[in-house]
Amino acid sequence: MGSIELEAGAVSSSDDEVLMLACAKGEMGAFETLYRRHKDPLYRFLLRNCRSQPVAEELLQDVWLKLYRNRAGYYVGAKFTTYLYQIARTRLIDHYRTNPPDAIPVDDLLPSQEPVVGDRPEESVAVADETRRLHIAIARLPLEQREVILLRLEKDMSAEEIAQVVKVSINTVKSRLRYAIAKLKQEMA
Amino acid sequence: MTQTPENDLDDIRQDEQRLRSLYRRELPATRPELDERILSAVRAERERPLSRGWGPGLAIAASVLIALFVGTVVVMPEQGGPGMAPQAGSAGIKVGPPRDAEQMMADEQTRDEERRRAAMAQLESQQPGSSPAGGAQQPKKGDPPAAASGGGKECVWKGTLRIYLDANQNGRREEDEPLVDAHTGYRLSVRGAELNTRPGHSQIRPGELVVEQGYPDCVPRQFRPRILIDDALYRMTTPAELEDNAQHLFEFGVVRLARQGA
Repeated sequence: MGSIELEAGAVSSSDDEVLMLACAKGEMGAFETLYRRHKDPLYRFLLRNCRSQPVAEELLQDVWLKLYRNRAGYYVGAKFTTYLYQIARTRLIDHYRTNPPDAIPVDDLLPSQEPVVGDRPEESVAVADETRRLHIAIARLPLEQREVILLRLEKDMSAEEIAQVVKVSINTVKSRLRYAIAKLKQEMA
Repeated sequence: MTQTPENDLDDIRQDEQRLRSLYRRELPATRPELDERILSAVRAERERPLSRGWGPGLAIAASVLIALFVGTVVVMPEQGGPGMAPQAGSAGIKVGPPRDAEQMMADEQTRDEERRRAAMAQLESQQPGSSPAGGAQQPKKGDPPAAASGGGKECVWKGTLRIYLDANQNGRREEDEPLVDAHTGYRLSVRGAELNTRPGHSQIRPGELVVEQGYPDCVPRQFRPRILIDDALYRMTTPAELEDNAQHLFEFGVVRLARQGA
């Protein structure tokens, strides 16, 4: 007789999955809800990876169109976000085939450099500078470290979820996260 | 206070929190024009007929199978990727550049269609005029399970799945989460594979289903099973537990399959 082993922390159904199933049945409203819920984090994930706003916008459109075109083949095998970011990652990799990431200047990624106005202008400027340095540092990370740290910082994904998106082991994800954070710390020091 | 995904990297949690806090000071969003462009493109796409395959593999298979059984168990190889059906013989062993997701799904749907036809033909030939809950022909003890697809098989993997209502959806069965009393024929046909209940039982024991699957290789497997509960055929002990889940869909964690023999 085989053994039983149910792992804790398994994926569970959620509103997103229900919406996606509704979308698969043709409910446009469900799609729009999913879109509005996930568009910004997904856009940032693409933007921080490809380092170009026009390209990120193009990729974003491709990802959502692919999701919609493939709606009929969707079933709840994992969290919706994992599924969505898998499509996004695949699209990014396709993009990298014609636009190698190393060929893109880091400066293209830089966030807005508008001065931050607040009660404490000096502090705001310092924070803005630190933020800017963080994004430069993220842009300089190797691709495999950059994608895991972005999924972590942007989406709060667990190591297990990231492993499902990038299709490597959980230990590999943890290792990449550790390397990435160590490098970011070093750059920010 | 920013949120920590989980304590899976305690040693770097502080650094991570600081970085997250900084990261979230700069959160560009999509332009309204872009949103409109994308939604318009999708709406235009909606006007086009579906061009691929037979649609949701699960939907059609489930609509037929649910009529026969209490529920449909869907298995997904660990390496197969969420949202996609198993790819027989390829899980975890192929190395290559990632493929286009759309193409993968198209390929998968073609394979699903073939599997579905084979499974349904097999079901029809095995259960003529018999009720799904009993009287179906039982496999002889020791019968090998059917392979997921054509070709020889070298290993048979077995595991036992305890089906329960994961009411709080935490992936663990608590004491107040009842085992499902599942009545079914001896064989469940699932997407891209077959699950055999224990040979000799026309009705599986409450909450227990033996997963037995042959594969053309001996790579260790594990599955994420789930069951789609059909209202008309399934009586809940506590129906209120389903209120928050309109799809009546629950997932049950990972079942590891132990190798039984070659």
